[in-house]
Amino acid sequence: MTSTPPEPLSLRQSYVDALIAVAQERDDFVLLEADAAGATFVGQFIERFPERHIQCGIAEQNMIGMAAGISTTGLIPVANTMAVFVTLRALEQFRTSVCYADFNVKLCVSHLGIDIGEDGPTQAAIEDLGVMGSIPNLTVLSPSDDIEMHQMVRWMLDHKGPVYLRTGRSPVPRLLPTDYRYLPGHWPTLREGTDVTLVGIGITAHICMRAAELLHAGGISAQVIAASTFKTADGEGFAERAARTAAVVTAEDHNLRGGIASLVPELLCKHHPMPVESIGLADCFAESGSAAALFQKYGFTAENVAETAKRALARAAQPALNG
Amino acid sequence: MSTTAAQPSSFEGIANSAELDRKELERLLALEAVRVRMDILQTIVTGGSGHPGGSLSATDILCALYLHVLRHRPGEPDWKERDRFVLSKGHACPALYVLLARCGYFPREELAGFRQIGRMLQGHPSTKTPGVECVSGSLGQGFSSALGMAVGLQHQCQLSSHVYTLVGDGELQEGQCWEVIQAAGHRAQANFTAFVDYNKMQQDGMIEEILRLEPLAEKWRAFGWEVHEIDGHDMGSVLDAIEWARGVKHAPQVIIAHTVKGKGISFMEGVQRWHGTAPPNAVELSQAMGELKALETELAR
Repeated sequence: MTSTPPEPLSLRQSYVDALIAVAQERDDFVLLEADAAGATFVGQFIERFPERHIQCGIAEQNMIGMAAGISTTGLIPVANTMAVFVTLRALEQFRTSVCYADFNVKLCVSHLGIDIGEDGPTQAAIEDLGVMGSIPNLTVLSPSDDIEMHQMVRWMLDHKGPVYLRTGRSPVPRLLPTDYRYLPGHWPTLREGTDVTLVGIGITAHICMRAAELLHAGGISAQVIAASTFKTADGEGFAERAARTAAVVTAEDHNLRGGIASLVPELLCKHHPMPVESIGLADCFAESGSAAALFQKYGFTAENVAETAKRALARAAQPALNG
Repeated sequence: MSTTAAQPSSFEGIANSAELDRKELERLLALEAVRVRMDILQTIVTGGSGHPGGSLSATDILCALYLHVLRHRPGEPDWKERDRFVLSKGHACPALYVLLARCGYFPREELAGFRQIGRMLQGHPSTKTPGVECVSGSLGQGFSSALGMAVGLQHQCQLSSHVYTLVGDGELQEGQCWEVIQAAGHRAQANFTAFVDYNKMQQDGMIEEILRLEPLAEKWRAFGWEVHEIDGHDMGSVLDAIEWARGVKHAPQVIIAHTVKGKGISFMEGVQRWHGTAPPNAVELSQAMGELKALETELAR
């Protein structure tokens, strides 16, 4: 690397940066939001492109329905709000008016998991992957850095059909090279390794990277993969890479039920069965607190990922049980 | 092109009938509405299930729209400059399908595939069907999509296209409807006209008993809409109301159409079991067709 890495950046900031960049090249999309421009950071877009903003007020069900209708007129609606208010409150509207119709609607959300911190469980989506992951016709994207975010925003607008894109709150460093190109369904390898595979999604990809450092110091080589496309993932490609190691650990800021703790074993069982351990919310709601304190309390730490990886490797070393 | 293009009462005939005097236009539309009712019943009978009551209450409004008012090209469903219509009370889709077929969006024979596996006419409207603008049937959702169409067209300064929607009275119990009404009022969405098919009944009983809507007109007015109340089965009133709506340039418009569930069939009118249930049996169908045939003869003169 010749240039110094950029400062860590919140994924919602990367998102709005990407949207502003693309808006200078194409005028075929409009931005819808539900009085959450500050929370989602899209206020910066609205300042730059006020004529491309459609305010829907605190009425998410109608926002999604309007997005469906707008898409039939040739514009691409990009709807924004906090994940929980749309993936749960307006879920049926999104499922039926948008996904069943297979309309060209983009839904971009912030406020995922305990990373939101002090606002607490009412505002935090901890089920969105499970919910959105079960809707036909939908692509679910969850980038882990600014490079991937820019790639995905471009892909999302080029892709004809419904897309759900997740951002994030805490600043995160850049992980991918500037020449990275998003391939639909592909889960990028963030770090090569031969002993164990760590799979993160969004914010937890960064925790996995730090865990890989810890493991490296202890003589264990960890590969880190980002589960960037939750729905329509290239399962075989992922499983082949995972199979070069002996065990897998998943880490997510989401309920273990329905997240990558469910998806990764599903993909591995199909292609290359192997031991999997998972970190996430253990089918519980969390609480208010600083994100750092919450991550500590609920085990979303590099130390816990590293220890879990050792446990997974120990399991892998045991002789297989007779079925 | 419509398969019934040779008949004077076809889509082409009425749509291009500027030279007709108004009374004659109303007569032709009313006559067509009788034939549409026949097809609705036959479609539901063939399909084995469906919602006759609410289809029949909406029939006259849909006939006025599809056979006279809407600017559309059945041979080119995606024509950019078309007017849009969304049947938000999607369970009344037999009426919509019959009209789309009469206009020529698809062959009339497709009606026999209503609700059948492998066919395009789904139990509630889907985008699989040419001429259907969006999905509806989960109540409240079509209404939002329709508003989105009006907003999208306005955003692109395409105001020659008007958006019409028809919502059910029971449907207005959904909170999403009031989000739409609030948003359209706030936006002064003048290229948007809603009809309420106010037949006073819903699946499990009377609106007034289950969840009251009144004072309905006042509610819409309070949300910033212009309101007009009509007899939804009087073709002259329906046409007048649409003309009135097109003249309103400062607000969205609602036409509250007082209707009768099961309209046109004596034993179905105002009878709860015809909301959505098993189709009429052979005897009932025969009686219904007989009544409609008599009406057709009367109107055909």
